[in-house]
Amino acid sequence: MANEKRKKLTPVQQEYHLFEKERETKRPIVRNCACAFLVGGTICAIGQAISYFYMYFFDFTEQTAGNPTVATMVFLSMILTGLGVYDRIAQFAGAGSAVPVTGFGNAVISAAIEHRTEGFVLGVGSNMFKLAGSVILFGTFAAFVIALVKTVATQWGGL
Amino acid sequence: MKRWWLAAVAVWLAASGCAKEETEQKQSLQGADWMRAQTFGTAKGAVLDQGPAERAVASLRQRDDVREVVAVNSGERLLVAYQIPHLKRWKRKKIEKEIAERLRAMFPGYDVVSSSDLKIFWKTKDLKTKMEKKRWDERDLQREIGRIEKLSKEQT
Repeated sequence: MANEKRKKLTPVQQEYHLFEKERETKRPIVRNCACAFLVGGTICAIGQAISYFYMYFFDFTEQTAGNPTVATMVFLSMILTGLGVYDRIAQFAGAGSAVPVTGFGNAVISAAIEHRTEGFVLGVGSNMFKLAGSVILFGTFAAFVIALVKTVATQWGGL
Repeated sequence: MKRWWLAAVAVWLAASGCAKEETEQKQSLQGADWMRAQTFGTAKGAVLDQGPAERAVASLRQRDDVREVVAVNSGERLLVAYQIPHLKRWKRKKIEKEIAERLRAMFPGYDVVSSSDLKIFWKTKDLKTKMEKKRWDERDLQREIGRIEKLSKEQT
């Protein structure tokens, strides 16, 4: 807790805060980072292999192979989520499985599975993008901001 | 048990990450093993004059930001494909621009197509190998170069 906020706490609350701090389980940050790095890296390596596959067997270039690769990765993660495998990977890897594009597929399907009992229209249909919606919204917004920065930098910044 | 597994994966990833680029390339390709085959540059065995292509290859090979080059020419068309070393890919756009300008200056009367795309490199290398194996007439070669050029310009 920030020091500013702590000053506003009553003595009892401060005492409780210290009591809690001493006893709470420490997060294994280094281990979590290592797991995320390894699993995230493995997912990226699989993505690279799929990209090479599309380039080798089809007429995709390095530039155009990205689209089918992303589609395949999302599709695979959706299948794995449906089979309950991706959840186990996510428990172990944390951000390593959520940050790559496969995390998007997982977010869509896990929400769909969760709300299946509420019906297809009001359950699956309206809740499917509950988690992934923010990814789409902020992804689009971030792309817009970056495009704006690039336009300004190239048009007037002389880059 | 879990720790052992984690340690084994970490060691394997670290070892494979430290591998030399050439070894990685050998592993990344199937069957034909494109990258393993040395790039001699141009189709010397071909009957068609490959002088401009040879000059382009010789010129680009002097650059340290170009790893492998392969070139083919036919009529007024010159197709040059090259590979940029992995860590120099940060400046890929700049290198591509410099090379395109240099080649255009070297071959003013030619329609020069240059690309650092791996697929274009494979296709050009494949074309060069085919040219060494059998006789090609100018029209077939033009058509094949046209196909690769079209592929290199594809955006989606």
